Amino acid sequence: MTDREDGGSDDLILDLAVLETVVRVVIDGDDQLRRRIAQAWHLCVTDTAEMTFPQERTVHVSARGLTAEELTRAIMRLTQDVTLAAVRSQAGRYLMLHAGGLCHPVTGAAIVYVAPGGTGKTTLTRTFGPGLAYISDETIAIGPDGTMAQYLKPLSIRQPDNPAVKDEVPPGSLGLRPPSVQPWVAGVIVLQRDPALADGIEVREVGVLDAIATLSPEISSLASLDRPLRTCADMIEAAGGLRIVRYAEATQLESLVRTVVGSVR
Amino acid sequence: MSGPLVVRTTRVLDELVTDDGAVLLVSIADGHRVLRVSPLAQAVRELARDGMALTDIEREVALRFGRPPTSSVEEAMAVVVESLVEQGVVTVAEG
Repeated sequence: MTDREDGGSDDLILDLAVLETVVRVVIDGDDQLRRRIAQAWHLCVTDTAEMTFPQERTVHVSARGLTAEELTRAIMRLTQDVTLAAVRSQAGRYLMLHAGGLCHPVTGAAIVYVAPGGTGKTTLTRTFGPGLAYISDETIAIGPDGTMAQYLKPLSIRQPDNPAVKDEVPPGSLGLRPPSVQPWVAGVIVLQRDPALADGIEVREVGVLDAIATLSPEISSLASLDRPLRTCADMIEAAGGLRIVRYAEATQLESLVRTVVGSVR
Repeated sequence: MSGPLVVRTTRVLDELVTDDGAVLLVSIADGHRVLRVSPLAQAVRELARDGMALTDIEREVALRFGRPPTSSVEEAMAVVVESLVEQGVVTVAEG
């Protein structure tokens, strides 16, 4: 899959509204594959004629001659390609964190949970998402005023018997719903899962400079922003600081999640 | 005959300074990196913006921060400056 301009005449098209841009998916395959991708990305599929955002990037997925597992892997890679395309498209416009986010369905108060891949974002999203509104489980884009662009991607969930392969699961099938109000950053935490942690959770607040240093490996295209470090500091201060949270199981974070999304501006 | 060692601050992409020190955004081979810098190390960078002899920096830092409890100013500064050189945010050369 590459970032070519156009597909061939037999290719199928799917436009996805992600991070306030549109990524066009060109599908070299049959309509069954298109339906499978559309189902996984059901919260992002947009009608070309009714696009709210500009279509800026194109990614390709090919299913010709693939086995069932190869096809699953291709759809998994498609998610990575769409993420990369969206992030590249918005470089310099948003502060983009490798993070998940959920918000209060009425107020939009959002908790942003930052973590490297495979360390808890999707589990937290599945645990607390139902009943809140889903913003992303992969990339959180924050504007200068603290509001957030949605990235309502499928959840990438490892297959129990083959952890190297992830299924792209439609958010709706997990009880996740998109925000009906504009989300804003009410709190930012860094997830540090430690299954050996005996009981409770450990929460450590860090100063703004340490917060920037902690978050920086999980920020995309930082140098593309205007005054990048000041932008990070402003976001962290507006969110009430950064907390590093050690925990064993996602359910232990319930009180923290409820407190943050219960914030008011 | 060699001249005094002169420390000179190198240009970074961005920096944010507070009473707690600084963070610096620097270029690396495959992108960029954020460095956390202590108040003392940031003082060295600020003193060396236009280049300053290491001995003058040692004297100025001792005035601002006091003498270290367990080593000489020269020994303490050698550690700080060496770290800054390794991170590519100052250079040291004979003046």
